[in-house]
Amino acid sequence: MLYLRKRKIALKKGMMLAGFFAVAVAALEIKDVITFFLPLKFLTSRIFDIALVILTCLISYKPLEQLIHYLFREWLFKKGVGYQVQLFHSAGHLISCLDLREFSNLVVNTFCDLLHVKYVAFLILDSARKEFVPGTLTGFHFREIRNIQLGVNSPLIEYVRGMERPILRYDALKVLSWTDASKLSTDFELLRAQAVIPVYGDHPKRELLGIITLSSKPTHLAYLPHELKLFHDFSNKIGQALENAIRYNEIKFHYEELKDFQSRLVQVNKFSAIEQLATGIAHEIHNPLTIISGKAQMLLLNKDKNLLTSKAEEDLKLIVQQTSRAAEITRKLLMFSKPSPERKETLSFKNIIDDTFSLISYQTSIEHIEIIKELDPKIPEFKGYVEEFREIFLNLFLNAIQSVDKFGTVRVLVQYMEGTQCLNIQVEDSGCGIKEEHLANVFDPFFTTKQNSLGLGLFVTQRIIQRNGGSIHIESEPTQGTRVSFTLPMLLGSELPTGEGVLLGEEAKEKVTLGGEMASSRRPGKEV
Amino acid sequence: MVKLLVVDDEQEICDFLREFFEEKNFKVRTALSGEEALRYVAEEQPDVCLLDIKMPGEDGLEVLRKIKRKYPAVKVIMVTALEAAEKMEEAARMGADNYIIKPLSLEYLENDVYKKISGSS
Repeated sequence: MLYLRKRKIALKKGMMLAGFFAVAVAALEIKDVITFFLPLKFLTSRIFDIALVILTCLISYKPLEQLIHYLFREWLFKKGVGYQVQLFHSAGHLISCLDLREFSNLVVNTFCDLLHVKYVAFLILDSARKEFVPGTLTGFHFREIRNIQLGVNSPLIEYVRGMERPILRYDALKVLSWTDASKLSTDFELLRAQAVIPVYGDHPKRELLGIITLSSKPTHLAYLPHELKLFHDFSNKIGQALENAIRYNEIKFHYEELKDFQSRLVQVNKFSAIEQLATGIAHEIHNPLTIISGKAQMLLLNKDKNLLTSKAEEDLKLIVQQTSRAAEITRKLLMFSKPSPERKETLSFKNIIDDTFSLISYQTSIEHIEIIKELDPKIPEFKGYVEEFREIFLNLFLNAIQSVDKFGTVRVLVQYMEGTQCLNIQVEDSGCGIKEEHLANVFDPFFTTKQNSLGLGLFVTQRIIQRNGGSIHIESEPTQGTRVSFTLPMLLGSELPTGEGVLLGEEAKEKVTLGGEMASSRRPGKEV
Repeated sequence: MVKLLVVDDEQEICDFLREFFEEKNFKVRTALSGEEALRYVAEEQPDVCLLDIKMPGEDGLEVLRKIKRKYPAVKVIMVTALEAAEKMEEAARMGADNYIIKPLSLEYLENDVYKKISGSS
């Protein structure tokens, strides 16, 4: 600032000297003409010349100064109009802009275009985080960007708050004590700022909503008072608009949150509707199935008395088998909503995965499907229901091997993420993938693209994972393959109250037996 | 002769189980409701009772509670279409001797009934 003022004064002085010189020369020329017509002796004396020059200089001092001042003002005025027009124009755009991102981009672009400065930052108040976070930054290295944010109580924000006008780094540091200045200087350094323009919200609160920081101009000339005045006007104009954009952004965020919640609610309703339906179906269908299957079993038990042919025996066995399959469908449907009646136990993912693969080993071996298992050796104890996890892995493995051709690969990965204390499990295949239009529906009940499929596999899988506090998602690229990944939180995995409700004492538990060959094919029943 | 009581609100199920167990030389009585079942139990305590849970009127769990309170010697096997953890736990707490899910495996049911009888004698 001082530097510039000196230069300005030097320029003015130079122009004054040139003006005096011109005036003196002109006066001497006039004197020569007068001498030519009126040859008086004293006119030619050196002393007269000197006196004349001094006199003309004295006379012309005031008008000259005014002229130079006028020229200066004219030049500055022209530049000021340029600024004003651009800032006015941009403020006009900003007033109608509700999108916060677009808003901040526009602000930063305006300053970049106007001043050609290298570093411009627009930090906007995030009231939830109590921080000023970058709306838009320009010129910064991406490594710097991560660190750019200022708490509402950081030195720079504290300093700027309450300052009506834009502030200059030089002015700010000059008036502070050394320790305060060094703290403040760190913030200036972080943003590479020479000037900081505060943006306040509307009356009556007039809250500090954002700051625009500018690095030095390419000419390294300081920001002039009239420039700062223009910035101030600009910030006054956009304050209200910024407040609107921030509020709009907040409302949009809450709206999205609400929409998300609503869709989850719909999902829950859908689940409970299916649960009711499944419960009803289980009741209505299991009785006739009991009789069909029971009669067939009775015939089989007395096969000698009934003189059954071997064909008839085979057919009866098929009847028993198929009725149990029909019953299994309703059970599966119920499984998604009801936790398993067993006790939670420490799971060995290795055993579960190996067991599940052994169930489908026939198919993988004839199709030469390569199975890759990658299990993190340091998985902490995870408590859960074995049956549920067998169900999950069976569903995912079946989907995977059904989608790969011969010589394809299925990869399963179990790893422990220490940071989030979650288990991350992935089942990946090199198969045909899922079409984009189907991807949104894969978790819907009864959605299937395969023949002979119920469309319940992923639905049940998702439900079990959610019940264990986890989440699942699917990525797929047609013809490239599919990756299903899910996370399970360790804490929830061992502390979820369902099932372990300890309604039953150890003694009573012993008595609970899941009877029936059919039931025991899924889980062996304990007997009293 | 072993006395068996079959309680189910569906006549067909009752008939079918009666047929099966009569062939095995059981003395079988059937009841279509909880009230009927309790009357029979009061008259003539059966050895084993096969009890459905979901019935109109008094439901199976209520009947189970009443039977076990007055006649703890009667063995009660719950037979139901639903595999519901909370019902199973409730039944176990009330003293049910087993919990079997439909459709039934007759072989398993028969074995279980024999086991209950031999356990009590």
